[in-house]
Amino acid sequence: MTASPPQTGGPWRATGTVAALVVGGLGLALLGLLLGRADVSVLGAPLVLGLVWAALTRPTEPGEVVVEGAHQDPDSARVRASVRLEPPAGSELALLRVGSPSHRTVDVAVAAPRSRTVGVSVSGVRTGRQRFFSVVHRETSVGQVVGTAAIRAGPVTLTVLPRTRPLGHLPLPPRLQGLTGSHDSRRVGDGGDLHDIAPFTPGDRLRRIDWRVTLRESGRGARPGSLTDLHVRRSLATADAVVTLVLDSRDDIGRDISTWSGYAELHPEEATSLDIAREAAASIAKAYLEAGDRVGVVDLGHHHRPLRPAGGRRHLLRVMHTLATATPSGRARPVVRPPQVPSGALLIVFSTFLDDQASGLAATWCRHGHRVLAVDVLPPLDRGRATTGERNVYRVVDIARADRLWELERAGVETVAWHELAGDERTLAIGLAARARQRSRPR
Amino acid sequence: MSVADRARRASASARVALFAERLVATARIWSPSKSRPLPRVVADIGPWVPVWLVTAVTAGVAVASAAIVTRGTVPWAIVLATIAITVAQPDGPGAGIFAVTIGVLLVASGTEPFAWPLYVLLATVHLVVVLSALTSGLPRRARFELALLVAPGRRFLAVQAVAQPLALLGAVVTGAGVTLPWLPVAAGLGLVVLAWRLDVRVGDDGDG
Repeated sequence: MTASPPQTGGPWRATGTVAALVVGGLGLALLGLLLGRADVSVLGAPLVLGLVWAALTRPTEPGEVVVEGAHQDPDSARVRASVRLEPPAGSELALLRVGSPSHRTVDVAVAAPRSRTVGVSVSGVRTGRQRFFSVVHRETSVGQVVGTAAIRAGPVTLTVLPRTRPLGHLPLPPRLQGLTGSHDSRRVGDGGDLHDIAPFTPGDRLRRIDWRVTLRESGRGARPGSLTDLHVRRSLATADAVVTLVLDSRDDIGRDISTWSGYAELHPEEATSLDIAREAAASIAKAYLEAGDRVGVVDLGHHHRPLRPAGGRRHLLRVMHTLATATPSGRARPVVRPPQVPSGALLIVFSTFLDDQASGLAATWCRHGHRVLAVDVLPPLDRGRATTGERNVYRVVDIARADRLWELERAGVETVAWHELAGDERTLAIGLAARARQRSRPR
Repeated sequence: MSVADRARRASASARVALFAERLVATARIWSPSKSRPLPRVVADIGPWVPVWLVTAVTAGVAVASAAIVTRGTVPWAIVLATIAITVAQPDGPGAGIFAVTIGVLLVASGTEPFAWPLYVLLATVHLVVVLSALTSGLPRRARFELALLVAPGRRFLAVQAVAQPLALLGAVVTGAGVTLPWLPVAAGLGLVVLAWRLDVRVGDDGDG
């Protein structure tokens, strides 16, 4: 949770209500005197009394406002916070104008004679580091005779972590690593599935002796009936998979192709390509880490040190934060040398493949012997608002992109579009197999 | 028509179409949220009404007050102008000018001093000024929390509890006589009951 620094209100100044009370109260009193009508003077008495009351109780100390407790609601796609008002004695009304980027502002006039909090929230599916809740605040006193100038509190910065979806079967790298894990490796050791039956050697555990085979083999030897050669059952050792998530954070584009130029505002309830990439990477990372495997992250947009593969629940949080803070910044430099990845790792590349960089790296890794999956994170597009020119440009871009994906498949990279993995339980392995079947079907 | 003419005409129409599309694109850049409105920030407050509704109530009370003492077209034009100023610019002396206008009209209507309209006007003119003050400086579409009416309502009753007996005292002192002595008392009691109901229904929901 984050909070903005507290903002103190300015000095109290007279408002236009004072003029109304003075003109009304004194005007009626004078009118009554001039006309010799006491009832007209009495008509102004409530206004004078109200002015006196308000003047006696007017505040002198400045108030305070702070935006605090900004957090991501795990149950709904909302970000919530509290606006805490600390008005001085004599304050009565607070006007709040609460805004947030890509949201319409709301104006609320609330009773604030004492400390109170006003809950505020915004909807949206966008993830990453964002700013929320800019509050413009103004207070008026009892009778609204004095008021403060508008002061601004917030915004607060919050890192919205990507949501994860349950995943079913996951693909594995060709070579597993480590001395223990949750998958059967091709190495002999203490595991589950049977590898073979071999003669007993020093170091083998006695409980691994297969007495049935030993007796059968003993009956065939030179001295039938005597136990000469013991045989043991050898099983496959378990090992863990190393998965490297390669995030292409250089693009962050929405569904509406007319917004790709960067002039128009993206709708907060439509996920961009980077939001989809974050969700896909987070879902896959969570699934692998829960299976006991190791996951690392490489960000193609930033050439800093990658997140090394590791396992565990704390590492999942590190992965989530790495994904959430990956944003396009400035002009991305071309990658001269492919980032180093562990040998035998499964590489999953998340990109829109709108240029050659990510696809080139994926093909290079594939040639180096890695198993590489390419997850296409381009959202389903909306061309309704695009001009003819924009539609024509997109057609050219789309043709180049389709060629790129076809070249990837030819190079041996398995490709899948994240939004095509429909259903509550997205199954990456089944999605890949379906794509493979689709490709192999004769046309 | 020659081929060159046809090509020139086609080129001109294409240029016009391109220009129109550019115009549309420019308009779209400056109003990006027209096709799908952006969501609004949600503020969790107690029961509320829009500020324009409070302003409408203010105008209604002002017109009702004026109807008691206004006779003739010209006085109505004047009083409606003052009401318009009060409603359009509540953060100004409009409500005070309205009160003075009502005072003038009270005299001009030929009503006897300290007759029953005075007691009604004491409450309604005060109410117009209080409501006008509450909405001063607030955007018309802002949400007005109903709990805001509790403290001004209590203050209104307290001031009326002093002003109505003051009017009665004035009637006695000036010898005007009290034609309907029960009216201010009944009105005061009614206001107390109204304020109590308002306090029970609104105060607990929105206060604090």
